[in-house]
Amino acid sequence: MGTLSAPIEARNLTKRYDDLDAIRGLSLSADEGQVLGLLGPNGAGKSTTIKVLVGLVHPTEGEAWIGGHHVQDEGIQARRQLGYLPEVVGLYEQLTAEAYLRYIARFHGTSGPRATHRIEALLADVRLTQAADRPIGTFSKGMRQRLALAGALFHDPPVLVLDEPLTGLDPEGIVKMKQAIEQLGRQRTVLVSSHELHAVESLCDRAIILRDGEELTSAPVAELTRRDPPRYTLTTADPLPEPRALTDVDGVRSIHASSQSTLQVEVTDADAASLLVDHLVRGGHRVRHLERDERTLEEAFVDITGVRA
Amino acid sequence: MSDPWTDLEQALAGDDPAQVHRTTDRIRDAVRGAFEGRQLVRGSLLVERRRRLEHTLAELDDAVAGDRIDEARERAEQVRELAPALVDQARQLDPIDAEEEVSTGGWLANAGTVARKEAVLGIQGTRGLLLFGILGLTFGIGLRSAIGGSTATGGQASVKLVWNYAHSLAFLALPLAGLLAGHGLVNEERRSDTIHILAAQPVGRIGIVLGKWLGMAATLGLAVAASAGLVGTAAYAVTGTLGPPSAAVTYPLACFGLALAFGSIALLASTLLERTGPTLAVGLASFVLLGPVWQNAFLTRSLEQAGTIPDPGSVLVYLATPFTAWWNWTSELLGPVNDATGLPQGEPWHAALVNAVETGALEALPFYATQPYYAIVIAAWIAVCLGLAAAVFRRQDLA
Repeated sequence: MGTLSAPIEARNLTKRYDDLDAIRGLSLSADEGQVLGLLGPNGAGKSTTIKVLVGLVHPTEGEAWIGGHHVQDEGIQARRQLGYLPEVVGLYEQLTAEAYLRYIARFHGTSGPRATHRIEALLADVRLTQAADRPIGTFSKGMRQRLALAGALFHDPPVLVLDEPLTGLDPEGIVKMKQAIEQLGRQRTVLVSSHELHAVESLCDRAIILRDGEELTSAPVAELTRRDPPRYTLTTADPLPEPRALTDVDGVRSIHASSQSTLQVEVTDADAASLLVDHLVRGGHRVRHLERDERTLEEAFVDITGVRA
Repeated sequence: MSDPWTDLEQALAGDDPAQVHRTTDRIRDAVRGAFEGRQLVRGSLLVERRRRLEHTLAELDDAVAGDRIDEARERAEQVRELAPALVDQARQLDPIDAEEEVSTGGWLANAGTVARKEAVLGIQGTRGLLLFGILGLTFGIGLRSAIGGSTATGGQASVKLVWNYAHSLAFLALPLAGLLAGHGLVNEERRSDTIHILAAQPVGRIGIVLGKWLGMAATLGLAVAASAGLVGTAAYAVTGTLGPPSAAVTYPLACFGLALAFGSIALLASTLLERTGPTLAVGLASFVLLGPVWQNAFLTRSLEQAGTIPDPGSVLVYLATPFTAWWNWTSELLGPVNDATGLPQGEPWHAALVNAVETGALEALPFYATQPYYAIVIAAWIAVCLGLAAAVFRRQDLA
């Protein structure tokens, strides 16, 4: 009995341009229903990786599969399972939104009333019904992005690849796009690249952080954002006369007091935090709040690389 | 009757593999029934989920047969999660109208999709207007020549000269029409970044090149037919004649072949070069290099000899001359045959044809002076350009 392959898989991908390795030995895999983030600064190799997966760029070494189909050898089958939103959305300016989607529909063997039905639904989903008959040349960046997303979703693909989908959008556009990605990610496998780590942090189940074409780390986002050693914010009902003295408690590594009743505590592990609470309660203090601090993905990136994203 | 997936647990508890197999078969039947007569897009989420369910059912049967009860329970759990949702979603799909033609969405059909878009966009806007203008001019000159100019004799020799000159200009215009239609087909898509979405469709690189070529051919064909039809109708309305009968078909066909050959050169250049300006320049350079008509008609010989072929001295000349000769062949067809016999010096190639026709000794005609030869060479030029364009584009990175 053969095993089902991962919707997105890549092994040892390398893309070399002259003397420059845009990506080097990159492997990745995304499971069904997973939103995988491909994160890193500009020039990290995110777009190149995506273009290799979509079949736009030929890898110098390594192989990739979409839905079990080899991207180079079975490109057409692989792309049948794929919806792609490029970083720079190029659309035919002369076509109307409706004509563009009809064009995409034909690539998936759909035409006539069936295509019309689907196009109407998609245009409504991306809030472009009113603009259906307008030439794309008159569209704003956000509208183009939404139309391109509708095109990527036309055939209801199990794999969606989004290259920097939030770049260049206004705040409302970002919120809507994030909602869309979140919703799409519930049903299908989504690979999303971004250099704006904070923007996609809440969307991704897992993240691969790239720098200079190499994978720095690959882990669930919850794991990446977890601080090690753990850090807690502790609030007491009454002021603490000597917060620094708490470093004597077992497992407490450092204390930073933002005020006399609010402390940031770095401990060796979760048990040490419990011990600290016990210690305070025994000392007659009332602990109001104890919350584990998590770092943002951006902070994680800085911690991992020492470089600001 | 209950849904089959709800019976799975009971079937597993019964410790009877046959019962489990019957239940998995019922699930398969239920799924098949739900999908029957529904429209599906190849590779879509539902198709993939169905594939996943079928795979899981097979694994379940396998685990039961192998008495791996924990694995069987795990697979049964997955089936119970997948199957009802899948059946539900399948029932919501649009039913297929049996009378409606369903495209396969295969690569060739998708090349047709590319071609259709190219043809539609090709005849719209400034480019389309220019194309129609050039071809209209060509047919106008050609038909005017057929009707009156080239039949001028005696004191009207200067009129004949003017119309021959006009013929040569029209000859320049035809490759221009081809270059205009083909010069930005690939690199324009790259410049405007539309190539990324196009190349991410299930069509393949060869399909894209083929589709673009077909679209260009359709555009040129449409422009030739429309221009020839328009000009021909007008000329007929005014004069009541269209010249020799063969001209009405051969002349537009020759124009189409010539324009398409240069369009194919431009398509190849547009895959090799990033910008459209240089592409046009390369196309024009090819035209000049491949058109010994310039050497023949304008540079070293008189306009009266525009219909002659250079002495066959080299392979290059043979390869290049079809562009010239094809044109000259048809332009001579437009005029009375005895005009050709009046050509002054040298051995006009069509004179050999005329003699052959008159004497009935067609076998005496050298093959290089026959219409099929030119058609074959033009087809070869197109095939080489198209093949090279596909090979180049297939290897390119669309970064």
